[in-house]
Amino acid sequence: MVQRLRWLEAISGTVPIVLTYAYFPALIAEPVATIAKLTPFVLLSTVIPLFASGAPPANILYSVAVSSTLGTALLYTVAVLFGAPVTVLFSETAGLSLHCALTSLLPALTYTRPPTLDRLQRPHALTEWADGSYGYIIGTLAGAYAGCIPIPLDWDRPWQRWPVTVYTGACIGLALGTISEALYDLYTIRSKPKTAKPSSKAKTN
Amino acid sequence: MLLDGTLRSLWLASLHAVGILLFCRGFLLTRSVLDNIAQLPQEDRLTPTFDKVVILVIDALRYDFVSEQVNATAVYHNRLKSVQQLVTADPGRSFLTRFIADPPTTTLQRLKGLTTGSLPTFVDAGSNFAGTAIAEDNWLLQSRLAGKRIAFTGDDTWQALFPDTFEPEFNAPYESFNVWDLDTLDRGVEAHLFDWLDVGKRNSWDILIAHALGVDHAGHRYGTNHVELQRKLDEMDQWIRRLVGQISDMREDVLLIVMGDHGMNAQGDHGGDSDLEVDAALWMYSSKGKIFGGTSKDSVRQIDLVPTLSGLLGLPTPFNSLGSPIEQAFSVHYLEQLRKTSRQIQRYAALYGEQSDEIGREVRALPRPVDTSKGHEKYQRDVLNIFARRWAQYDLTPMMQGLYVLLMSALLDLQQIRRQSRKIVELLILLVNIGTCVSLTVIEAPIIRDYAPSICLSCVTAQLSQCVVRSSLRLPDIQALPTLLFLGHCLMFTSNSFIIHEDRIVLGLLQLGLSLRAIDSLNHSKAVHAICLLIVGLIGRITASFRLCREEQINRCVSNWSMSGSVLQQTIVIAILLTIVTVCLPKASNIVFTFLGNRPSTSTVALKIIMHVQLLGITVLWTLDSLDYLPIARIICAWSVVIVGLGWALAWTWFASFTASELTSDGKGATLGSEHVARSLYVQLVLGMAGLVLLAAKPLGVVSLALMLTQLLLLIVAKDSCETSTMTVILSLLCHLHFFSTGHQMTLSSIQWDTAFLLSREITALSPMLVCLNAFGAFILCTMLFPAIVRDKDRGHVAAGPSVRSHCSVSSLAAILTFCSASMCTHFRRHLMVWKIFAPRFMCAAFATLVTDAVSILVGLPLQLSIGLRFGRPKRVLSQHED
Repeated sequence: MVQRLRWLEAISGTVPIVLTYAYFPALIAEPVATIAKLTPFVLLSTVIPLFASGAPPANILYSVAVSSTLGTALLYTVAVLFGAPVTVLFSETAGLSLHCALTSLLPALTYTRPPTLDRLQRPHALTEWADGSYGYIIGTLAGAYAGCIPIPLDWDRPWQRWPVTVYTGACIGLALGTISEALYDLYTIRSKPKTAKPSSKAKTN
Repeated sequence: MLLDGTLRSLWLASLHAVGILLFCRGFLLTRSVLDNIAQLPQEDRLTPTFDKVVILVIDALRYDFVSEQVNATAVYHNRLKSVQQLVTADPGRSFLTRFIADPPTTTLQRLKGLTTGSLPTFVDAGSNFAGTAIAEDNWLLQSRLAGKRIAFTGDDTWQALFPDTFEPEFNAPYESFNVWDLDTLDRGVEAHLFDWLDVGKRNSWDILIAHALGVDHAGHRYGTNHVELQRKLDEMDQWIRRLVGQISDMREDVLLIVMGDHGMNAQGDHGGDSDLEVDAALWMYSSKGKIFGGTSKDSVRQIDLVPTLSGLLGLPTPFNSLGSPIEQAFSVHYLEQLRKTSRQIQRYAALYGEQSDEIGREVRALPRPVDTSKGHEKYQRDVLNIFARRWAQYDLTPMMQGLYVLLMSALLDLQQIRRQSRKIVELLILLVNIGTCVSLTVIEAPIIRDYAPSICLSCVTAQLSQCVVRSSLRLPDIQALPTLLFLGHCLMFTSNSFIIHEDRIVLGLLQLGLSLRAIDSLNHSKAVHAICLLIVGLIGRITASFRLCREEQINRCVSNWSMSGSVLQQTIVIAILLTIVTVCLPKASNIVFTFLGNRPSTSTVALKIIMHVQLLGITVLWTLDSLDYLPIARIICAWSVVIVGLGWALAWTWFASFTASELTSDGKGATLGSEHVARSLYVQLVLGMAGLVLLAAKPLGVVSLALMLTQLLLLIVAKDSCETSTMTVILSLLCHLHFFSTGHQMTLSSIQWDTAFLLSREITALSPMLVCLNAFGAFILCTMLFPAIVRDKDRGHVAAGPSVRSHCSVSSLAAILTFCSASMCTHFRRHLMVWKIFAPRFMCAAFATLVTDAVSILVGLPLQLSIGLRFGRPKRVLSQHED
């Protein structure tokens, strides 16, 4: 069952990059409008596996609300901290943050409640929270970070404009992240009988 | 035993120096200078067109300052009305043309090109501080040989280049380096110039050279879009008007040349090779009537002045000249002059070809010039291109040797430092290294030059192989995060675009490191560490918004480093900002000390006072400076900051003993241990001396460095959150970030030369040091505070071997960066951007390595002595550290 869900996640995780590929010229010409146009589909592709996982719909709606407001604000701050422009290109950065919040924070928020201050007192609170949606979080954020690399190059290509590369990077990262998580789970489930001993050891630890 | 670490530091530092010097020897291009003096063969003799020449060099006179602008938008447009009127009203009498400089566009290099007609190679570019006499043939020497008397007034670079050339009673050089002063030099030049043009004195000279600097200084000081530049240009306009009037009165045939030696970029600086910087103006005016012709050419090269001037004065063209005559200047004799120049260039190429086979072969392969003006022009251009290309020929052997030494030193740095050889061996190797350095820089005897590198190389190899044989060569455990971050920084050298945008890349890498560490701390429920790291990141982002863009960045970057607004507004902003720093920085340090568990002690109180005094001094200094008021008071302020800082260092060694007992217990009575005491004491020492570094930064730089000190203090609080390797990489990124936010870029033109005058009104031995402090202040502070930012787990570092620890980290990273940048310079040595982007980046990395080396030795030694003696040698800790 879990494995089937992972495959569903992997398939739906590739939707944003396919959409980006299809709308790439439009994304270059009008980044904000295109991101706005694509966001409902991105949201849909993230939410479908969540529904399939059997999470309560109210929970999902709550997570969508939180990640599209607070989550977007958080990622916007992170983007600025990492060097995104502050005074100009506000809507571009905001659109990018919204996209990243939906593809990274939303699943984690649905599966587990975010750690409260009390929970943070315990070690590994964050790891526990993100457990199960690593592919989404790490894939999207690492992809977005790697998407910055081509920006400074002097190739004078239209797609080097902000935030096209970062957006594309986030989409590619999401696809890679979800697929590799599915593959990783497949591997660990298959090899479970063989490595029964170490896993029991881990439990005692 | 105490000196072990210092010996090791010295040894590694000398290795870095050898590597860098060897690499520079092959990389920084040189040209062999032929000492021959040109003699005119009988067939080349030409009657002089003019008897006297008046040359007015207006430093940084860009072409668009002079030429007529239809849509005048800037304050500097259409100010030299006199030239424009004469050019349009009387075309045959004068001509105006673009006068393209060969980069580097520094005055010294330009004067060499303008007088010898040869191309600059990179080696001389750094010698702007003190010009040395020109040894090769030039038109001043030829004029002297022909019995002409030369008068000179203006920029003293001429005096340095041509000692004993000017008539003693017609020689009035002025100090040129003080760019704060817009008028002193020009007043002097004006007085002498027009005095000598007077009826009584005009017969005592044949060539009159005047070099005015006001325009250049106005550009450096205020930028291009400023009324001061307009004022200086108007003044020059007046001069030219008067000059033309005076010359027309004279009976002889007089040639007036007004020219710029280079242009200036949009910020008013120069030194590089951008279009605006090389685009100077040349205007020639003849008192003889309409003798100048027209041309189809858009511009001339600056070296073309040399054969032109020689031809007009009937002198032989200097031997090393590669210029072509200017077509407009020889309306009648142009072809004749071209023939003469072709013959001269052939003679030169033939002789140079004897020294350099490749050049000889290439020049001989050229077909003889067709005897038309087009044919000669083509021939001369071809020869020039051959030389220009060949003088860009690198010597790969020393470059490879340098790379090898740098790589080996990096490997030796990176392994955990422990004693693996006898001290006497280390001492010997150190002596060999120092000897190599000296022989590479001072003694030029070929036998030493050839063998020293090999000896040094074998020593390094021997040392390394000894490590391998004893299998003590253990690289530190590779950790993912620091490796990733540092690799990111190293890979940046693979593309010129990345180097251009290094400020943003460094910010991105730093934030990645800090945020991952913060998340990790949060995950391990160390919220305090996480908050500290996040604040460090936030401050980093704030300082990264102080930007001085390099010209290649301009479409993606807005410079806000040089302030805008009137003098009064600027002063108010500076005063407010620096007052905030004065109030907040000691406060912040106090908070951190309290947080670390120190109760207020004598030294903390004293430190607070000392910091207040220093920062107050700096505030007054820069406020006065902004008002351009009371230069003496500025110097006194600066000196008092220095004295207070040094006094603190002296007092520190004295009181460290009795404060130690106060610090050993916190308010609750718990004992904190010698490690903690040593750390606190050391941080106090550095904070008290930080004023010395802050002093040399410009006002916004002071703010940036103060913020950096805050970041470093926060990192001390959060020191347990990162492994030492991660912390080192974060510090390395941090000092690069603040290098940029203190208004620097990896270019020659962003060096803030004016800080050389903080402690004196003339150039002294301290001036280069101040410029260095200004440029590498961030690196110095990071290196100094590094020993305190090592986590408690790696105990014993501060007390046992601060110099060792700090050496094998900050400066070893700097050395690896130097290695990466040097290898990329080698790889891209034929790249279009090598001199503009890769070479300045390499030089910056090399300087950063040497500076961090020097700081870790200088700081490490007294620190080790005092703390070591004070607390004894912690045996247990050190023995742990050694295995």
